Amino acid sequence: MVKVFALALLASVLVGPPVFAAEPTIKELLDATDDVNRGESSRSTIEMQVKTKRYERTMRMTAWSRGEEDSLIRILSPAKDAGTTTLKVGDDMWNYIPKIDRTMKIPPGMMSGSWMGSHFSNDDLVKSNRLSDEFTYEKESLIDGVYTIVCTAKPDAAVVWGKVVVKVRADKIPVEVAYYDEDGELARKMSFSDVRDFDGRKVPATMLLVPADKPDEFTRITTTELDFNVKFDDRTFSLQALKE
Amino acid sequence: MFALAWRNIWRQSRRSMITILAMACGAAVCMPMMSFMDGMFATMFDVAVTQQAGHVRVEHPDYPVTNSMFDTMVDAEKKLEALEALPDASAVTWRAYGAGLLGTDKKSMGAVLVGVDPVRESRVTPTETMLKEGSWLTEPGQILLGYGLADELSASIGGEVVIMTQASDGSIGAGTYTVAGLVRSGNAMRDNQGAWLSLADLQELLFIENQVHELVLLASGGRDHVDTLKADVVAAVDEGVLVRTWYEADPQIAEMLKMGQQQSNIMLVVVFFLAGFGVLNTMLMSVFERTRELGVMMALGTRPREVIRLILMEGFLLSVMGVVLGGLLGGGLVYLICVQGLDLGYGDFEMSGVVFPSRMRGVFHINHAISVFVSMVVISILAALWPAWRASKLEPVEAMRAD
Repeated sequence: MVKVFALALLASVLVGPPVFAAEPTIKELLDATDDVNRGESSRSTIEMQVKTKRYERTMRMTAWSRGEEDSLIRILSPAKDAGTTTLKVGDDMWNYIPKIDRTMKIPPGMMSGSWMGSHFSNDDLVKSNRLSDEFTYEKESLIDGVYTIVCTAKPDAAVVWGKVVVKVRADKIPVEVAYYDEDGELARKMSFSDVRDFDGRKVPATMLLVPADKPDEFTRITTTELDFNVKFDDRTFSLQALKE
Repeated sequence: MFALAWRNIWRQSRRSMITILAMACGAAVCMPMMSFMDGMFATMFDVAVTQQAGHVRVEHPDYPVTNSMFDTMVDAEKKLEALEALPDASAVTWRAYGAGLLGTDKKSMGAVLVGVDPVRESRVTPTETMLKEGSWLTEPGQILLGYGLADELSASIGGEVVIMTQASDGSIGAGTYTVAGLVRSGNAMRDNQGAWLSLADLQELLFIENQVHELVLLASGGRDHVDTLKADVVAAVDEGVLVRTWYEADPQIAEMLKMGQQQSNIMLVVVFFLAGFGVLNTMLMSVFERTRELGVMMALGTRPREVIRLILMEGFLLSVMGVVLGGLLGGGLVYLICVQGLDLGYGDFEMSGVVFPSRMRGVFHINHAISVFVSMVVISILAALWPAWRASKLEPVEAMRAD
């Protein structure tokens, strides 16, 4: 009996597509994917778990962001790294290290380096490119309310990826983003799950990044708190604020 | 016989002088060239081998390929002790490497971090040849910067720099250091990106206590004894490490050195051939001219063997005079090249990652002089063989009839 009920429920989920006021455009879907961890202005608490062949560690951080231009991320734990803060303003990035009470600007040559030991690069945090600007895109399929959109880099676009395949739900919640290099090889895959309600908005709370050449490694970011429309003053994203 | 040969040479004094001068010039060109090229190879060897690769090196088997911070050798102290006990090793040092962001208040840049044992390193790398300014590492918390890097960062001696990096446990490693000196190693990459700090400081920064990336040895017998040293090292360290000689570690440099040696050999052969033909020509001419005279000598009872000896003696005397004159000229030039150096006028130039100073100095090896002298004399005698043999085959009666 329970089994039948479960099946029926499953069937209704599969068959009954969500109802929307209007079908979203592809551009809207891509922008929503871009904005999932950007937002207009927000304050969040996240947990970043990094697993590599060599180490596994979990960091808790608070992040403030204003649009896609400015953000400030501060490590809360572990104690060894607590207080370490990254400031991003436009295309520039600084790290503040409390242990030595110094702020260092990340030079252009190191932007492709790892951010805080994770599988994200500094560039991932800084680049505010939009998929819909730098790529030509095309809907490949719509299966069970999930759009698959293939984005191909425009010839003159200043992006590191040759192709990006986005899977996004019709309600604009991303499911998976696969990044391919210029030779068309899969480089990494980011998947979103655990959709939760934060401050009245549906957001996937978990983001998992797996590099294609190291399938045993991953970086998982879990959002535990998220507030939108937070008010900032100009000092929030300044070099002075880094040290506070 | 000697007196006769001596007199014969000066009968055609102009021709003999030309031959002597030609040989002298050959020797005078060869010697400074050998000195100069050896100077270049010595610089190259110093930069690539003595300062970096060592005569024999021990590493984690994966490190040469991955260059990863994680591919270290553990139990470094035990290995170092074992290697220092080897009688064939004149010096042993250990190093660790890392990469990080290095900055001053004004600027920051990516840098290659080299952790060196200040005392042991100075036995392998003469610090005075590496330091451009300032002093060597003497206490913890000091750092040396490649002069190109220091320039780029506007860092100066006595100033403070900050290093930020990823430690081996994934945490953020950071430290502040005082610039003790500027390095000019001759390795272009390192002079522009390198930063040297004490091994202990780097191990602490990267969280790799008692681990190193390489152990480097110099052979007591010099670079020609690396193979015996390698065998000793292989026996002394446990399995699971990679032991290589400098030419196995850097085949490109080994190849360049070999090629350079071949080039200077080819040059020598060419010069010697010219000198040999000079003697051959002189002696042939003089034998032709003296056909009649030689006929008379033979008719008077001089045996063919004595005629051969006479001609060979003449060739020998010519070459000795050439060599003595050439030795004086060449020696003077070698002296200038060794003491003053030779400014090629290109400014500092780079070859295979090795930066050579604009004013290159030669090196003096008595072997250069000896090899030039001996081969010139030998070549001259060989070149005189044919004319001598011809002279000995003369029929006295016919020879005396010749014009």
